[in-house]
Amino acid sequence: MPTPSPPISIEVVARARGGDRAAHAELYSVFGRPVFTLARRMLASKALAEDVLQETFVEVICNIDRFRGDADVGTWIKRIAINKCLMHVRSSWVSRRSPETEEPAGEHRSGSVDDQMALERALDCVPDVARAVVWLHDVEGYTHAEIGRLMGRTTSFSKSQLARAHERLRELLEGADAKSETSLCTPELKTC
Amino acid sequence: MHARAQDLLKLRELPELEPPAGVWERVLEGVGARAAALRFRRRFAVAAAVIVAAAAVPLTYVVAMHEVAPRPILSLVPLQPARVAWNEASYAPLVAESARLERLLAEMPPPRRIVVGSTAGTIVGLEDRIAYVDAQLSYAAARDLAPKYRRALWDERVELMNTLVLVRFAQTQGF
Repeated sequence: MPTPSPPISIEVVARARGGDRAAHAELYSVFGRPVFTLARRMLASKALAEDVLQETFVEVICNIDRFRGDADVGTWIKRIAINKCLMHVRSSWVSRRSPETEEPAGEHRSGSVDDQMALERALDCVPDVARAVVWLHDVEGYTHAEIGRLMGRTTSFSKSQLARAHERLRELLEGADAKSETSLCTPELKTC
Repeated sequence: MHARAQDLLKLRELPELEPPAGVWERVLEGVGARAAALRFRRRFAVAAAVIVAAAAVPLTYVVAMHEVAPRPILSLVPLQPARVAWNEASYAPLVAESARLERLLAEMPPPRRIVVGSTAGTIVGLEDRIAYVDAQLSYAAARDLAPKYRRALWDERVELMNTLVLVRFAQTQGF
């Protein structure tokens, strides 16, 4: 089951369905951060995450009258964002670009900043599909069967990608002990 | 497990990221652009309906002038042949047959990723002709035209559907 989304009142959703622009803005203010974070972590690219955020909310506003309310609105919005992320993951352009190594931004909630920076950089260096799987499974709480369906693949595919991602993350994090923080991930230009 | 590997468990604790400024403004622009495109499509659809209706009038005249002879329905190669009991007074069997062919079409596997251009072109042409017949049927229903006019249209639709199913079947076989 996916992780719960930030709470929002039914009244706001109802107003949004009625075309109330202020309610649309409220949806964005509540779910913009989780969607941007999800996209940034899954795609390892700030520019692509921005695109996904924009495309997701255009779709949310244009289609909210079709939202039946049988699921949490946040889950619905995140599902749209995940589908858009997976479209990018499947595209050849994403598979050809090298990972970004930008400084992590945002609030510091727990743990050491150094550890979080190392983890973020390591995550960026995991192959695209494996990174998407590890985020959906470990953070968003999707099951292997759900991930398999989302990606049009099998449950076993999701399991093997998760194992691959964990292995790669371990390698990178263990290697980070011996290296300086800045050299954790060296971008490489993939040619195929 | 190495101590740093414990960090794997901390993915959930990574901080949320603040979206860059200006994205909400771009969302609003995108929504406006979509709304404009939708309005254009609706106007285009109305214009197309008017054109179809105008074309349907002479067609009904032609149908009235020529009594339609019953024609056998093409059988479907991969499945059971169609058996339509012809009845001068009713076109219900044709409607049922058309629905059966729609179901067959829906159950067919999607085309392979690499398709033959000529086959794809044939399919598009058939779909366009079916859409045109559908528009004529809508017009016939709206004007409550006599059953024989509708029967002629349903007859044509079934033939087109039969052909489309055969071509789609061929496409699934890689042609």
